[in-house]
Amino acid sequence: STQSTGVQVGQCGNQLGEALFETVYREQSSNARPGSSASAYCRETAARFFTPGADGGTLIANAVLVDMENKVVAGCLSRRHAGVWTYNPRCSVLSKQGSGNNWANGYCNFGETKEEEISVAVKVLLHSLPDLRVALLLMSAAGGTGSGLGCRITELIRDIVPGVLLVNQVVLPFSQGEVSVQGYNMLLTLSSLYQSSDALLLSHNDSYQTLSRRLIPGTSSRDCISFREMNRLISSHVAGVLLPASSAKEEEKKGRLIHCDDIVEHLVPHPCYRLLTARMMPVISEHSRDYTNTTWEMLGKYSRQMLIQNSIIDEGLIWSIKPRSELLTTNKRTQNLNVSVSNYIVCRGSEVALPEVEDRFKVADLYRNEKTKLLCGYSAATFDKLDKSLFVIDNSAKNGHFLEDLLSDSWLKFQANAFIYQYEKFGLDREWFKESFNVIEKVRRDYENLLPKK
Amino acid sequence: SSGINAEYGGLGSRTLSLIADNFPDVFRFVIPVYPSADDDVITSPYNTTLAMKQISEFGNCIMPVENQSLTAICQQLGTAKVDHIKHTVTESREKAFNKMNSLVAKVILDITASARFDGSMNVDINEICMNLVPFPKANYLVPAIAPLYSPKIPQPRHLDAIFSDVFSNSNQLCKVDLKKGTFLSCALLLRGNLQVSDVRRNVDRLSENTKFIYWNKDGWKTGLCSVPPIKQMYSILSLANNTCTQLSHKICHSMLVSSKVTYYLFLPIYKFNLSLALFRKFRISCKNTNNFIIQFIILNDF
Repeated sequence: STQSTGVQVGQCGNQLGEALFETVYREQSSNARPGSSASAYCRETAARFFTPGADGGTLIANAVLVDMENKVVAGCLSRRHAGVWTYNPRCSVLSKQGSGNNWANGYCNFGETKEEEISVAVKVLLHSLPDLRVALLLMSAAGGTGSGLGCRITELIRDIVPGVLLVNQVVLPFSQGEVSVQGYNMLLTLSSLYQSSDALLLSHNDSYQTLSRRLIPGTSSRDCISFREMNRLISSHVAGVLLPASSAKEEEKKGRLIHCDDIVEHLVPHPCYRLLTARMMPVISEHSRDYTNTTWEMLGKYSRQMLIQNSIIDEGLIWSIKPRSELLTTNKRTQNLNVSVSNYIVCRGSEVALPEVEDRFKVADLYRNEKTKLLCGYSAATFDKLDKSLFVIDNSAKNGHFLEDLLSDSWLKFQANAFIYQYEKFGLDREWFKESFNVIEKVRRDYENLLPKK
Repeated sequence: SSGINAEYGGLGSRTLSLIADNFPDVFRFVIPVYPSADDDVITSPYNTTLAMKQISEFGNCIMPVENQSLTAICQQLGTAKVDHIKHTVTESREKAFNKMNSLVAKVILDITASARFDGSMNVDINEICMNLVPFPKANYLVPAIAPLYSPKIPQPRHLDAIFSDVFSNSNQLCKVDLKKGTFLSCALLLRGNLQVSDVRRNVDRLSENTKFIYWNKDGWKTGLCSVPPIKQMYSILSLANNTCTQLSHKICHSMLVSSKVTYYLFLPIYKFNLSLALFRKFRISCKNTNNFIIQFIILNDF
């Protein structure tokens, strides 16, 4: 079995990481039933994310926790989750000062002063993970520690274990300002990761907040949504993709287990395209489940439309936007379809009719140069006790859409020379910024060119 | 880590420059308290002008507080005892200052709340400087608090009210008209049982009526600390970096040119035998406050 590890950096990264491990453990224990397939699933899940503790009944999460403030990590370390799993305190690095939302402080300053300590923590973890294939770094792009130090740690892990695939789960802030300098921090983060990481799984706070409302029945737009709910949702999306699944080939009755590195290699075939989005269907509250009947056809239909419109919510979908082959009219003008470099879909639950779902996603129009690049996984084990659930993770053209606003807003600030002196204090100069603008502009252009010309 | 310095006068300025020299990496927050127009310390405008030069140079973030505003707020809260005919504070100076100081103390408590308590969006003190000060010289932040707590005033029934209140003139600790200027950035530090969506909703609403500079249209910095101040359910502190703070420099200007003060202007100089060096300092400080008249008078004498 493959092993993977999480690296939680900064407040967001640590809060999200904890939610992710909680989700994974919940799945592992809720699917623990007598029966060979169920127990194989549980064993594989546990093997991927946890290591057995010193005494038989406990588990230790495969994770390194880093933060330049101590409150959040101290909290994570103090809790014994579900009475069973804990974090390893030897794999944690804390400080007291904080990075002050300054990417340069995280990357240049703490990157240098804390490098030794972080290397030690990473090596302690690696000691117990000889089969490590994928490292998932959880971080935000707007803050100082998660963004700056997270980028430096990505490079560090690349140096220590060059063979391991690096996936960064990056949380992007609300577009309406959480942090004044978030534009700069996002720019510097994305440009740095594009040079050191293998894949970037992006989550936008705006989308997840809207989606979280679905989980709370009767919530109006005035009701409060906390980060806790949003983190749980992001964790569901990520876990749903990384939990075990097998490929079912028509010739073979029993599919081959899909490993985490297979997924990453499939999703990122070309180094220019590394931005991923995860989507899931259905997203319904516990309360609504009794009233909802889902079919694989419906899940497939809605998920594909979400992909076409680059939405993570199954509301406000414009059904008239379809692949050309499915258009009824003779007017075959190209529409505003999303084009993928590659997709991975996972069906979890009962009576999976894989070809039904697969065919929906195998349409040539949906792929670059019409070369279908689709990997399908399935698992009989349910996710979150949902009878049927479908996960889509894609590397598609519209994933780069947000970069346009990011570049224009940040460029305005840069031209006014606003806030630059704060970064210069730690050794970043205008040249570094210009370089980052160039890298991200190229990514934006590459993704835009995937779409058919109007 | 950072240092907070609330002072008024020469010793404070010297302390500030010493901290700056010996601990250059420590963020220096300064809360200078400006005297009111009828302050009975004759040399107060003189001291203020000199202090301002030091503060501007060595402070990273400066939050000006005016005694006038503090008095007005205490009046509003019904805690200041004021003679309505003479418009002077009738209770003892010490008691009055205690009440005013508690307002300033509240500002400091709100700034440090995130460092002391837990919250879903911690805002460290150094983050305030990072997000609110786009250029080293544009470091004046106008503080305002809501709700203004007093046993006599009922607490706001709805959470959204505190967001609106904190942008009203009467909640500011420094009398500048924010609506007349352009915001370079603004921090909203919240305490209490609020969630991120409460914040989003209100920031969206406030954004419609707030004019931010074109390159920082989303120049909000928000913080959420889960522990509210004692006896309150929620509280908010706003720190606004607004172009109209240049008007605060005019406080000194107006005090210096008012007829009462110019009469006394030269007495201290002769009486205490101030050296030429210190006098040059004064001239430079005056430049800051655009006070060319005083400069002219001084030059003529020396």
